[in-house]
Amino acid sequence: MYGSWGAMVTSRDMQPNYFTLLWRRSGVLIVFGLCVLIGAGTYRAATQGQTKAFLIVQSDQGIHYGQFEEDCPKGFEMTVEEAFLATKSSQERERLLRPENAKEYAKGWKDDFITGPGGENVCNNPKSFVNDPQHPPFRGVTSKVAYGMNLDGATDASATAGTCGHDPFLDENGEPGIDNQLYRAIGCTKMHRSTGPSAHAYIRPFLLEIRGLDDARNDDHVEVGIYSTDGAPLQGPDGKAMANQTLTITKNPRWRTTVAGRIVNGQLTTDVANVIYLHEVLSTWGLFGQDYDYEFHKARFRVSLEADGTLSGLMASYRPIDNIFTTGRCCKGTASTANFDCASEHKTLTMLADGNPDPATGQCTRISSASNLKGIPVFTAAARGDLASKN
Amino acid sequence: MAMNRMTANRRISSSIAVAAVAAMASVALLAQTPPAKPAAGAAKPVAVSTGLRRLTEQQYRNAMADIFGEDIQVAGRMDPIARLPHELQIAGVSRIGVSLAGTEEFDRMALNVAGQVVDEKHRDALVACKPRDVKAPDDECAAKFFLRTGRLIFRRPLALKDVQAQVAAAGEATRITKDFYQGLQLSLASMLESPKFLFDLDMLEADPARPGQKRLDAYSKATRLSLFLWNTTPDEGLLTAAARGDLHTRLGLARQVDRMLASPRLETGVRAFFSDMLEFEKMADLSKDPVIFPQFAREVKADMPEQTLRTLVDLLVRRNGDYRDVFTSRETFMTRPLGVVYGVPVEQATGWVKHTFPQDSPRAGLLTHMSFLAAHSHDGRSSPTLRGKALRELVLCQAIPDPPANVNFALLNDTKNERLRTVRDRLTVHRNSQACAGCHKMMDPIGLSLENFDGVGGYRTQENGVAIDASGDLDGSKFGDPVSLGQTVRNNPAVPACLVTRASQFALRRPLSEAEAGWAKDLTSRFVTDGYRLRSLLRRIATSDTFLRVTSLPPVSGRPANKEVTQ
Repeated sequence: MYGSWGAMVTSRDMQPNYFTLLWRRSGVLIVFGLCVLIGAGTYRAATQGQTKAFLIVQSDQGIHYGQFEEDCPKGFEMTVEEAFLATKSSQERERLLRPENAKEYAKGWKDDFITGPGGENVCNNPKSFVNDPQHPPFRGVTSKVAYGMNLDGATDASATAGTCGHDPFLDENGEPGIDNQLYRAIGCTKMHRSTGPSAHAYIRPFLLEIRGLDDARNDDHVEVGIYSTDGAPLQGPDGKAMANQTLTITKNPRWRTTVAGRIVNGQLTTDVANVIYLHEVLSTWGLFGQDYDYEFHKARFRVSLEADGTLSGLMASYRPIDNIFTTGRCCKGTASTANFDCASEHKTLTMLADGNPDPATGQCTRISSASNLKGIPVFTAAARGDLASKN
Repeated sequence: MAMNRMTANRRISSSIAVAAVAAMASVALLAQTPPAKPAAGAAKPVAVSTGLRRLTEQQYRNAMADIFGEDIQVAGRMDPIARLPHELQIAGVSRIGVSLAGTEEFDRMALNVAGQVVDEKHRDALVACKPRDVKAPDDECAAKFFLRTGRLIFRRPLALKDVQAQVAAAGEATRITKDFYQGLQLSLASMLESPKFLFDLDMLEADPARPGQKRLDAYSKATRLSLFLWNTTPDEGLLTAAARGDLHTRLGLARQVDRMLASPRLETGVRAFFSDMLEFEKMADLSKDPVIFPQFAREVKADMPEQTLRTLVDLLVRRNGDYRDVFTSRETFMTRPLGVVYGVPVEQATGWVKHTFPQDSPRAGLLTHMSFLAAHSHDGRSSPTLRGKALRELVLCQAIPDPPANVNFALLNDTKNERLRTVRDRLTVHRNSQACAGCHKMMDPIGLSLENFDGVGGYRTQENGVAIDASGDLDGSKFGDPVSLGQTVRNNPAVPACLVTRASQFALRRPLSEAEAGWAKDLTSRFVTDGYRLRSLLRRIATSDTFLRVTSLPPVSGRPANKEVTQ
């Protein structure tokens, strides 16, 4: 019933009814098949051991804060306002910046400049500005170190099956082949290279549950569940989610993913999850209550179980470019208030995309990324009406 | 029309308010006068000075819900009842007056409730008749309404002149507002702010069994019973039993008490009793340092007392369990916010679920509930002294004097002291002061055994990096952890005696007199032989002569207290 009842919550994502049915119909063959699978190490249900669950309360966009001069030798990328001014002559700039012209100036960059001929704006419809030279691509990060993992298996700039060629980073330990093109694209923007709280809450809090845990330091096989949670986590007076609370795992199987993993010296590494969907309800102005999915393709985790009971580490994956814009860049306000040029970003992401090439054009449609995570210990419970499938 | 309504409101309201204040004043005056001499040969009940007790706010709310329905909202607050040291809060009902602001609040609450009773949503169910013309007075319909409803509000049948007065007031207001239901509302409001509703005043009559002596009339007995066992106004069954005179016979009284004990409303009464005994009214002002205890969220604070009340009701009322098990039982109830502090999973996203602490859990019994641990701690840290004091006073009924005014608490508050890293260390030094030692020796050894729980009741094994020593003793009985403390308390004979004393005081709504000490002692013996069952105790109190005896005013300095009225 609860996440801590390790032995009872193992088959949620294995669809036991399906297995039961198969067993009844062709038991011997299934036994044989499962033996083959186990033998091959492809999948093995963890039916023993402890369960530990964490609420991931911090998740950033993997911005590596190296020396700014090295990461971004030409400074920050242009804001919308700066890009707008860049289109003007020095004389016009001077005129617009006079106090008496403030209204015209504000209208110019907060409205006219970010609006296309059909009324679309740079953040809701960045593709409409593909051919607009007033919104140039970002220069990008030029240094060599980034957070992330080697997602494509290559340690050089060559393309592999299902990827597009690109220069990989090193990680902080000097490990080569680190894929994080998203960081390369946005790492010098003022909006993303911030230190504010928003920099740490990119993905809505989600659950990471480790099942079948025999030894928190070393365990050659555990199951890792990644789930959205129904309802908002309880917060303390400081506005932070509270540890040791119980959270209900979403009933919707789309937002539940299970992947195998192993723990070595307290560090959990998972196999690749083909795709993880996490649920988001955007409450941004004008979009109250709209549901979205965060998509993470070819995702894998590398996290540590800390002595204080928390979890910290990294998730690396490929993010569909369109999904990035539907989840995190919505609305005209991103441009007019946050002063961020989504059209420039979209161009940059398209240029640097390194995953899932379009079979027709060869243009990659996903971009490698990383997210630093922090989790607090919690308990999990199945959603009502979902108990049958859970046990 | 609007002007008419306002005029009527003002006229009726101000006349009601004046009448209410005057009536309250006269009732209060009555309470201060010696018992009235009965008219020769008169058997008619007459109010005498046997105590004037205001309804508590919860009793008011319960009465409104029972008379008019759960969906009638009561918006407003009554003047709070002060709690004197070592007394139940309910004892204050005979001391509290009515402030001018309080009178205005009664007025607002009454008008609001009455407005809901006659609104379109409720009138069909609560007003048994329909007026011939909704814009004109209908004395017949109004009389029907006040006869039925008035009996429940005043807890006794209305005299003919009282009904006529209410009907006349409703008629006058209807003529002004041109709205029968508004007229009814204003007249009903006058009843809801009448002292006859807001105050419980004993009505006496000649006692045929004891010539020359008085007894409570049957309706006063019904009120006393219902406020004690249900914390609300008498229901139809009790008023009918009173009308038949059943409450004057042992058999009739026992039948009614048994009916009341079998009613779900008993839980309401038991909750009121334990809320008072455990001083839960203080929870409203409880605060914790959000930096030190961020888990002490609003929801947690709200659920703490409710957890304990649910546990008590489940054990003592629903399962009729042994009262002593309150201190050792591992069964309780949990919500998700509480689960955060208790560190346990809670399956259900909202509401309450039953929870059993496992055998190896350090938690068992009421003393390990947050409602005890957090309430008797400081804002930023635990307090063995406050916890020990609470156990002595609330559970064992042993009074601990207040500390002297010149105590230096600097050392105790120095939680970062490098030399004295645990509160046990600091209290040991503090007790070296002779002025402090006497009382602290009664409190600290108990409270130190609860040091595994921090200032909000979260479990911990260390304080400032030092392993917590949770050993302690209670009057020579030694224990090593919170669970053993609960076991020790369970076996302490002062525990059942204290409960009996508190239940008796709650029943009488005042401290016991010296003469009543023997009654409490007898009740305690019977409580023990009854297997420490609360239901049996309540039955014995409710059917006792002492409970329904007529007594004089509560103790006031310089005046003999609680003498039986004999004339």
